[in-house]
Amino acid sequence: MTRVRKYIVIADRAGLHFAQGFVNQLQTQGICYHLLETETAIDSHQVAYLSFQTIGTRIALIATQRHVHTIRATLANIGYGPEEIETFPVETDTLRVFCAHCHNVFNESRTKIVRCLFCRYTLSVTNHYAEYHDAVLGCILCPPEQTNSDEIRGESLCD
Amino acid sequence: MYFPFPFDGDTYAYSNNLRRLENRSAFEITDTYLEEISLKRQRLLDFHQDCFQQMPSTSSAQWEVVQYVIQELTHHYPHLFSMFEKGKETIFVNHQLNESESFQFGVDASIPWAPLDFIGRHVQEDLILMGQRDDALYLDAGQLCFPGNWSIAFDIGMKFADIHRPVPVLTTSGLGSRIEQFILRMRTETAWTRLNWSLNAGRRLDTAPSSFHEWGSLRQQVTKQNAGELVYLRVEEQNLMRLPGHNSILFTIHSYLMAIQEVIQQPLWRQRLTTVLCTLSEDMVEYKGLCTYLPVVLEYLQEAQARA
Repeated sequence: MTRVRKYIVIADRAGLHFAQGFVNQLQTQGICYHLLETETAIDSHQVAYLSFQTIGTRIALIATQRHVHTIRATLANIGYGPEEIETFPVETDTLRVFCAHCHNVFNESRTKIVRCLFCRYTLSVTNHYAEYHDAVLGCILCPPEQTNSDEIRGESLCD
Repeated sequence: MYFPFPFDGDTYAYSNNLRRLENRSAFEITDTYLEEISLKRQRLLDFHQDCFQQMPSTSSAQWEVVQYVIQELTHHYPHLFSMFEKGKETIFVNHQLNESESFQFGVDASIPWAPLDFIGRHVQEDLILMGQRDDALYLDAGQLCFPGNWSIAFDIGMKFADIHRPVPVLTTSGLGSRIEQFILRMRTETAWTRLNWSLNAGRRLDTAPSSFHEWGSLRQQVTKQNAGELVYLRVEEQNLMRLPGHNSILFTIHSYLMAIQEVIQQPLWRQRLTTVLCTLSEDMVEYKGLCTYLPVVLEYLQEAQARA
C-alpha cells in the first residue's frame, strides 16, 4: 500500500467483507479513511463528496468486476487519475476478457477457454489483468475456421 | 552483420542486467534499416491499433521523445539525418529514405500522427514512453511494431509491476520491484542498456499476440532436421533513458533475429546457447513459449556440438 494522506474506500455489497480487512490495515497504519458503500454505481451525493476531495486522496475500489468498471468510469469523469485509484475486483461468476485478436472486451463466465463475442476467435483466458481495460487478457488459441481443430489448441502463451 | 549475442555465461537467470550505455547511440542503424522501416510502416498502416497506443495528455512528453530522437540521430549519424530550422518550422531530413519532414515543434497539428508515432517511423527501434508518478512507472504511450509476444493495446496505461506480472520469478522474488526502483532513480546523464532474448519459430519480427494463430503454429513444424533454419535466436537490445522535461523514461527495443544455423558458426556462441537452453528452468521454458520445440532444438544443437 503506497503512503497517502487519505483513503476513500468504495465497496459494493460483494466487496464489503474484503473492504473491512482493508480498513483494518488502514487503522493499523494510522491512515485517515472514509468507507463508502454502494449498490451498483455511486450516487449523486457520493459524486459530490468525491468531487470535493483534495490532492493526496487515494481511492480503494473493492467491488465485483462489473461494478469496478462502471465506478472507475465515474471516478475518471470526476477527475481521478489511474494512479489515484487502486482496484480490488472480487470474485464473481463472470469475467471481463480482452481479446488479444480484435481488442474488444466482453463478459464471459469463468472458464479457461472462451470464444470472443466479436471476432469469434477461441481464446485462452489468462490471469494477466489490466486495470485500464478492467479485463484479463484472452490469448488466441485458434481462429474461427479452426475452432474444432486441435492443431494449435493448448499452446497460447501471451506475455 | 551486427548481432548482440545475449549470453556471457553458461546459464541464464533473470537479473537486473542493465549496464551503462556508453560511446554509442541509443539508436542503431543496421543494414536492414530500409527493410525494417518499410515493414514497420506497413504494420502501422494495416494494424495501427495493434502498433500504437497513447494515454490522453501525453502529447507534450511525446514531443520530448521527438526532440531526443532527432538529437541522437543527427549527432551520431550526421551523414544519414540532418535537421535545420526555417522560421517557426523545423525540418528533419532522413537522407536514407530521401524524406524531409517539416513541422512546428510541439504543435500536434503540424504532423500527421501523434509525436511518438511520427518519429518512430524513422528508427528501427520500438519506442515506449513510461511516465513516472507516485513512485511508480506507467506505460503512457508506445509504438510497438515488432513485439516479442506482448500487446501494447492491452498493456497501455499499465503499471510497470502489472506489465511484468506474467514473468516467472520477477514478481515472487522481488526482483521486479528492485528493477523498477532502479529505473525510478535513473538520472538524465546516463542511459542504460540490457539484452533480452527468446527463440522464434520462423523469421518474423512481429510476433504480436493478435496474430498468434499465424506464427504460433510454426512451432509445431520444427524438427531436428529443419531446426537450424527454422528456429531463430531473437535478441532485444533494450535501452532506457530519462527525459528531463517530463521526468519520464524512454524505453527503446531493437529486435534482432539470427537463424540457429548461423549462431552455431561461432563455437563460443554454440556452446553457450546449448548450455543455456539445457539449464533453462521449466517455468522459463513455458513463459518463453518453448515447450513444443525446445527438445528438438536441443537435439540439433547437441549434434552440432558433437560434430565440432
